[in-house]
Amino acid sequence: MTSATPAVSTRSSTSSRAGQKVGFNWGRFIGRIPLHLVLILLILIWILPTIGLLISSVRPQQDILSSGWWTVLKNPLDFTQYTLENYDAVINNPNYNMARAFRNSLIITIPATILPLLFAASAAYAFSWMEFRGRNILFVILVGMLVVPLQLTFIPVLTMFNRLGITNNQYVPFLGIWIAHTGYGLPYAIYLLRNYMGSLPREIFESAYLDGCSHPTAFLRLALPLSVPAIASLVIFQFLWVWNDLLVALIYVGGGQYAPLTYAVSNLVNSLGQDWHLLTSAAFVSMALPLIVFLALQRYFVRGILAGSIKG
Amino acid sequence: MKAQESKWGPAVFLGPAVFLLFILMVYPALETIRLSFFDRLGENFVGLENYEYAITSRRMQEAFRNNLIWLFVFTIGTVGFGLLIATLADRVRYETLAKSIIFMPMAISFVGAGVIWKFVYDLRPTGTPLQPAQQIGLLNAILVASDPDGTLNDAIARLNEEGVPIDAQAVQQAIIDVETDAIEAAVADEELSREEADELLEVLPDRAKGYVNGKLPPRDENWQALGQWGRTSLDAINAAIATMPEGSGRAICNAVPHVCMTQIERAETAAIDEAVSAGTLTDEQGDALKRQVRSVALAYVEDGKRPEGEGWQTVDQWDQIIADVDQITLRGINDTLDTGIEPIDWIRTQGINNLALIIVGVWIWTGFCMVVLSAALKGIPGELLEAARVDGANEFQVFFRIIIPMLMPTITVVMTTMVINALKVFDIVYVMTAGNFGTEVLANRMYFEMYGGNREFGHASAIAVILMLSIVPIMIYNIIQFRRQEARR
Repeated sequence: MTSATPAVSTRSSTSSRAGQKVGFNWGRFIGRIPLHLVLILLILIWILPTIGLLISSVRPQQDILSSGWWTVLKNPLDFTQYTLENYDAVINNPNYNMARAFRNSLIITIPATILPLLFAASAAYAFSWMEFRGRNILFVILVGMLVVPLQLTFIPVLTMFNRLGITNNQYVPFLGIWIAHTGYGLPYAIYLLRNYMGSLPREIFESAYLDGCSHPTAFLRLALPLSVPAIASLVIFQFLWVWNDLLVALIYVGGGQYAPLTYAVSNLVNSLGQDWHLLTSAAFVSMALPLIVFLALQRYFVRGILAGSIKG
Repeated sequence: MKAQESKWGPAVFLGPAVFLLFILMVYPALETIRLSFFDRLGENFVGLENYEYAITSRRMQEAFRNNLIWLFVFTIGTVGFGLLIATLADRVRYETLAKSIIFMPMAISFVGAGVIWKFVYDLRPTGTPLQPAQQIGLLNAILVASDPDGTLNDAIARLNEEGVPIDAQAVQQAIIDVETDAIEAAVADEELSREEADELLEVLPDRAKGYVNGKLPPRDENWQALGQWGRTSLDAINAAIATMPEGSGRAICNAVPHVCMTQIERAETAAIDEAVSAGTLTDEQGDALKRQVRSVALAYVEDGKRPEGEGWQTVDQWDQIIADVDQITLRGINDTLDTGIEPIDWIRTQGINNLALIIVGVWIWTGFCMVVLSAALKGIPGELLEAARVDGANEFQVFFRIIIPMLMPTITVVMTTMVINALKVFDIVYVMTAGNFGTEVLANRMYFEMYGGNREFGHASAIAVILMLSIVPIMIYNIIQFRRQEARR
């Protein structure tokens, strides 16, 4: 069975779209109306809460508290009811230091996304295509770590880091949080990549080995390129998890000059409480980059990207 | 599967991952198992005492129940919607747009999601005929369409100006009395500890004052009788109104026009219905009048503006209705008021709030399931589906006989992930209710045992071990799946 083998997909987007090229097919269109209705309804349900937040973030404070955000829809083009003051107040207030927090978030997130993927990919390759004693046991132990509540690990690990001088290191202030996020991201990355690499077609690897291919070569030239869709999804997930994380950052870098964006936003939440006009705009500031990253990598999920990768 | 033997052994491939996981997770996990048999600070061996607490305490039993609800509803919701959307989006041209929108919540931090859903679930507290509050939360606005007005406090002040002997102090005191009784009862039933109760009682006057000014108390406070605060304040005001001389309804209407509007609306609506069934009005005329009755009645009460148009049945009695308003009790209107459905306190109402939190979880995680399932869906050879369709299979048969079986390995992965998420759920509960109002879950309980006031490391460790054990059956199932996968290739 080739049940989960995206890599060998030969499905082309043209065949299923062929019908549309020969004039407009009314019967097909009408038959598909329920499909569109259900899908559009679901999309609306999913986006409505966020739209509410977006609209609220550009309304004056008094309006937010006295009427629902949908009231602007009565006269959507009446621009006097919108204001960018909330964003101005959040971004340009020196007390919140959003720019520095944004930069810290980037410095934390990039290595903490690349490192676990690298380590997890090589581990997943070993679990999929190498034979060694204790393979299954080791796999169960590593992936079993998925269920360890992170909060439990903080005290033992922090004690160890402090002893080794990893936290509060003046030369590499982010070392502790890089290591922590890398470790915490590994179980899931290994789990997903092992599942994906293990389902790649056996013949490809066997013929490669027969041709004298070594494991490092097979890993770099076959396993990695063939796993691009899984790796792309993992990049997104790991990036989002690190970018949106507050708890781990609090423990390993604290709230000082190296604190990330989530800390700044949560500070707003705590200090402002009911000031929803600032909360809504701050929440949107923190969402901007993750959304861009997702949209940039979105094409990896689009049909046909893999069709040519091994056929040629 | 024999590669050339080389110096690149498994050790090199696995080294970094194994090393990091052992120091960051395996070692702390083993430490946790050890601590779960020791006392509060990990000093004395206590055997199974911590586990006994974990199984018998009330908060923990609540957590077990809720995690079970999460396990089923959350997993089925995320995987079900994820599969549905992945399949549907695969067939339309706006696939990328659709998937981006569904995935978007994944890009939002829990802090952000908390803000967003507080907005959806928001309840303005003074939704009574005295002060029909404008609901700014989406869900409650759908349930109740109402008009904006000030706070309870404003209404009290206006009543006061009109000569009703009431002040905000009296209303606050009534709330304090009711809540104090409820808290003491909860302590007697061991639902609250003495310390928790004392903390609540200390801030109660402040919260009651805030309530009268239109603010619900913070979500992480475990109030026992919050649902009665509204009625209590109405009763206090009723008592004051009852002392007014007969026929002073006009004064009351000046202060709280909505109450009088409601009275006129009810009388007029009944009369219109009667006229329609008697044939003096057509159905259309009746409906048209009923649509206007609220605004017309309010204009009459506030400005004395007589209604325009024909067909008003009771207009000559409206002055009398207004004069008699002091005879009715506000509480009475509130209980029988026909405004459709009362707004719901989604976060604090037991039975609903767990579902409300799970919906937030499903909203966040469905995008994840969809992306992974969609990637696998793309891997199903197109010829296979076309062949089935050519052979006369309809879309449902294609879905259930071909797509689902071929996606099974991926569904297993996604489901495992979601089950683990459901068992470990923490952030959503922590951000939205802090585990109060019957929404406790294991990870939240563990967090509070560990970092809450008492620093019960033993209890926290035992809960963590239970959490870890609960996942073992799922991991065994996964291993069986991997074995099958290996056997097949």
